[in-house]
Amino acid sequence: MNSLVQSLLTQPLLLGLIWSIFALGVFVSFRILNIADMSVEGLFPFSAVLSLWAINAGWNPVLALLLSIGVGFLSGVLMGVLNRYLKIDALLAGIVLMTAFFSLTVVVSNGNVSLPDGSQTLFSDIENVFKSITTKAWGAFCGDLVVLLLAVFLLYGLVYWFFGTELGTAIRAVGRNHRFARAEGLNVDLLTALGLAISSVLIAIAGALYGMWQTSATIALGKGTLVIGLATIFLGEIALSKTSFKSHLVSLVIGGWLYWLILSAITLIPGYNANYRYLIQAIFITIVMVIPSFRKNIQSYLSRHQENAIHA
Amino acid sequence: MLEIKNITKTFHVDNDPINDRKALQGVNLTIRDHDFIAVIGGNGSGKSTLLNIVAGSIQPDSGSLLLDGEDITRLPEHQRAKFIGRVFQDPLLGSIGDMTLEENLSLAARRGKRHGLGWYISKNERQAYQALLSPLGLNLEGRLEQRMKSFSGGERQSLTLLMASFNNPKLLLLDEHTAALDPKTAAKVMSFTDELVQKNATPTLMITHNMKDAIKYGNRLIMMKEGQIVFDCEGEDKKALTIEALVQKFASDDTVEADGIL
Repeated sequence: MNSLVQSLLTQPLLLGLIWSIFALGVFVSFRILNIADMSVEGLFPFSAVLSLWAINAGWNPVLALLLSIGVGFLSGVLMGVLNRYLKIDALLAGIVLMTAFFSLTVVVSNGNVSLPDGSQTLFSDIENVFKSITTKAWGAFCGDLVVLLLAVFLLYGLVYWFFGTELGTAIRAVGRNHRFARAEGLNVDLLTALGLAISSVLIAIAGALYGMWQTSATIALGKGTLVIGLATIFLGEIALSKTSFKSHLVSLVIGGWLYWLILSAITLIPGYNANYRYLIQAIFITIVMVIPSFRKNIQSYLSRHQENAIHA
Repeated sequence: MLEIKNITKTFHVDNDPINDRKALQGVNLTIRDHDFIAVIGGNGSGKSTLLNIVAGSIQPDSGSLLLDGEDITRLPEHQRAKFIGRVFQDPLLGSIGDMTLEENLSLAARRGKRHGLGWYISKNERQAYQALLSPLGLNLEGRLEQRMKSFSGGERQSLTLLMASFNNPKLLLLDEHTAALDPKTAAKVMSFTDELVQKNATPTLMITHNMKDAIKYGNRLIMMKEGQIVFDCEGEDKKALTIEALVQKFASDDTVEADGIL
């Protein structure tokens, strides 16, 4: 596998799939509940570090994943308690949790953990099956692709199902309009906390998968993650501008892939310096956020123009 | 039957007593099961505060609310929703624009019930909604999967009314629910309201700015002023009311305009 194939084909595909799980978590908090949950910046690296620490401590990778899921659930509930029951502004509540997670991440193996070669992860067994058929690099890619596709199908399927149930529909209603929700007998505080817990579980799963895929994780992983999640959502919405729930979900996977494809392509530009990464991310998300309103302006300008032409 | 007993409410602003606003100063009102009460009163008369206290959006400072003898004064708003249907003034508040008509209907149909992991709507339920909507003559039955925000203000308010009357609530609260509509649509929604309230025999409390509506609809009319009920009439007395008489009665109230809009 040459490096160009790796940086433009295989890497963006795998990264896109992992981050589309992350983006699904951000979608639940940001688009369904209307809350920008900053705690993900702390939860994501913590979940990655924690699951690798558990594997190093001899845990089965599935148990390590379950540990991360449990932490994600608690984190979401805590976010709900801070925001809804203690009435702390959502943005501040998220920052409080994010800060707490930074400390916890350092407590667990100094915030930097890696797996020795040949460690068991959620990927290793299936990678080995493919490695016996083809080259080492392609075998790893195929194995990772299978695991991640399975995870994405399973999690997206679950989220699609859940938000179509009575309970999920109630959470969607809460996210849109608190006054209506209360008048319809919905417990806004409890349902918001539940929605945040679901969001955080998805973030934690993404963190654990990312850690196991990289076989290493550091505290620096969290920086800018919310921006990546939001950019993925916006990119997906630009690529697939339909509004049904199903197409919204599909757009997240497309958005995840596009995001990493574009960012990987940027790193190939001669003179690219890794120090610019966060600056590029910031500029990039600004552009994708502006595109929809820009497109609307152009459309209304064009239709006005056409009307004028007709009247003239 | 809802008994409102000696309710008071003062709004405090910036913790400075000089800014205190006494919204309700001892309100007593019994809403009987056959009552359809129109509430009129100028801005700041306390009518919206009263409605919000009955709905549970605001907690009173003192006094109590008894629904069929049961004290609901401290019951949270979402738990009261089981007994109370509500329509807001803003058509955008009473339903969710980003959700489809059938999603909105199914949420209302489950008001006060447990929300489980079953699908949000069943096939039978969908047919029931179609049967319910077709007599309205608005061709809504074919638009169940359309987003609520694609409906007009009048359609949204009529649908919200219908939703609020699901499961026969013990009380229907209408908060100037036609005020945001154009006069023609407002009249249509008002007559639909009357039809629905008569058909279901739901005890109803309706705030309105329109004196004509207040006289025309309902069996009882109350007027509020400075946080108190200053006029309460029903039956034949109410039928005999005219806008002129009402205006004259409250001529001292400078918020009353000659056109009959408070």
